[in-house]
Amino acid sequence: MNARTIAFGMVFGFVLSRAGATDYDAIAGMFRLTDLHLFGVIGVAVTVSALGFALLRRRGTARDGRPLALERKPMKRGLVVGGLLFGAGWAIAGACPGTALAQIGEGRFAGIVTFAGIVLGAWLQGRRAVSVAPATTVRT
Amino acid sequence: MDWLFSIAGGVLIGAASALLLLFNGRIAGISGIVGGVLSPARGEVLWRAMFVAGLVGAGVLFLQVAPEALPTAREDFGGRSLAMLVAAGLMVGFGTRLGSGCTSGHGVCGIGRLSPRSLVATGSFMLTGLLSVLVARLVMGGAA
Repeated sequence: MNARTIAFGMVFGFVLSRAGATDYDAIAGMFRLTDLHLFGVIGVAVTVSALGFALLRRRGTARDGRPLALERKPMKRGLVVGGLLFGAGWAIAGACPGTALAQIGEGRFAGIVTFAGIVLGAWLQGRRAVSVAPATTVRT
Repeated sequence: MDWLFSIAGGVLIGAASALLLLFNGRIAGISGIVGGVLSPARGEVLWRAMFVAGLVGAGVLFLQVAPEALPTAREDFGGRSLAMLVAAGLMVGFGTRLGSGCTSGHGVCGIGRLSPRSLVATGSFMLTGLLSVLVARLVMGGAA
């Protein structure tokens, strides 16, 4: 089970590196709409995962009998603001959480710096969320 | 042949996401996986650590076995300062935790299962991603 989970992580890492998603120029090209190949990767990934999820939904449970984490989660406060912040950060850093980790694997210093920022940001939001209120989700 | 790899790469990521759900019952959302290591929940730490180890380990292995298969590495910082990268990383970390997901969880898996809130989140981050490079191009004349 652990070896398998490592393998799943490796698939992500290999593809992100090989597709050039760890390259700042490729991310800039994607957001400039001048290099669309990463949209292609994402589009195919969405299609294949959609097929897989549909099959699994019919199956109902994971291999070990645990429930699948496929339940619809409620809309929540922060979804849009969080997304807007993330998008701008992604464009400037040239990395999302996955590609920052893959950059570290490639031995890129930029990945370490970006990931340090990510951990700090996530920690700050975690602290903030605790201090604001427990009721941060709103059902729609 | 690059388009062929884009298709193969997409198939691999989609398949790995579905298989993680099949075997672990979990969604492959990397910001959540990283965040879960920061605020550990019982029974959720080990698989997350393993996934992260694989994600980082892939590049290490790649460089040992087939470095020529990687696109030519360009300059690390691409003209950006260290402070700028930390600040951008901070926005990514804060934003993905506030918005409960990133490219993998909302963008791939969320849209793959037609989750309304993932559609909202993905629309939000793609919007500012596109706007950021546009603004940077207008203001700085193509620096970003």
